[in-house]
Amino acid sequence: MTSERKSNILLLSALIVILLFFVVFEPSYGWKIRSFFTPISGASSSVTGGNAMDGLIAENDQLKAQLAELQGVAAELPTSTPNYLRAMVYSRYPLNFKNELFVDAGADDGVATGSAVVYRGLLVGRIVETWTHYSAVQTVFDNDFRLPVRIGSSGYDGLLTGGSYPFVASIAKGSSVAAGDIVASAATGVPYALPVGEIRSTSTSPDNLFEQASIVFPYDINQVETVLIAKP
Amino acid sequence: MSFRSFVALLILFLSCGFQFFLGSVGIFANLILAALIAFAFYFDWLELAVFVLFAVFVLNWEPAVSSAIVIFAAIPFVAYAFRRFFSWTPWAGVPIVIICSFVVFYLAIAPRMFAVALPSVLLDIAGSLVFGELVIATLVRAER
Repeated sequence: MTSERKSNILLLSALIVILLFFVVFEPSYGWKIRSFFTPISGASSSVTGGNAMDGLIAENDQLKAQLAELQGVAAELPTSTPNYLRAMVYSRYPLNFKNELFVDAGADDGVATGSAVVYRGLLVGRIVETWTHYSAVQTVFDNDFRLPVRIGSSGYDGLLTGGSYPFVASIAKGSSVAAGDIVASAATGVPYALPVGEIRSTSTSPDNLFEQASIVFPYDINQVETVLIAKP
Repeated sequence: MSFRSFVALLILFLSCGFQFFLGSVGIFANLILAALIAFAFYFDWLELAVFVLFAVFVLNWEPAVSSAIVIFAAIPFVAYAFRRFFSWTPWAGVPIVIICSFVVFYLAIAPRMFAVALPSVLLDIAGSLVFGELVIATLVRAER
């Protein structure tokens, strides 16, 4: 073995040890490198193209959801207001298998699996895994996300089905769901009537048994940097 | 460090940049894995280990080691083990290994993707195939 080869092996071995140390003990530096590569821009909203307008639409959705609650389901309102915990998004699932956010609040902060995660008053996902100081949030854009919801002031039932383009499935045929109706949560473990988004359009399901509706979201999930987590 | 290793490191940085930038605008292509598979045809296992660990360091998304990241890290070494079967031409070997690896990766982590998001899977594989060939072309040029 030549001395050059020996020194190469030594150098590579040292690099492997250093990288292993960072992978195991200091993964946050890796997240920082990743965030360096990920542009943060408020101008790439898929809906409106502006943060101010996004805020207004989100607020409008909240108000619509409140109105829907008062009109249709006032008797079912919860009697207590859940406490929320603010958390920063420090990382995102970097592959296309899932759509998950990782936030800096964990089991020690009172976060539990199944808790609702809210952004600008809108439900964006649920906690699926917790560690001591971190948690993983499955967003509504994840293919495996499912949530019972109610639509509009009439409170039609449906099942929010996650994915790149989330939609509400299993809406009874003949329901007068219309564009602009608010979609709000109606699931156990999630605060009642949390707005999720607005109906964009409706169609008949492929099996012709139900109606389904596409949803418009007043935010860009890639721009979410801080969220509120409902305490159990 | 050889010129070829330096070029490979540059490619890895670029693939990280492209993958994360595209991901932030909703387009997912696993360019980093494609680059590592191409590297498996050109570097010995020790150099490959450095590249793979760097990729894991940047990609690891949670404070624990997940099965997805373990499979991700194992794929380039499997490609390394199979490269002798394609020693006659990496130009054909890399795309074959990329297709097989990506299919196995999807089946292992999220088999439902084939049913619910097939266009996204195909786009990922197609984009990675093109990128893998570009990496090969760059490494061949760097060798000269």
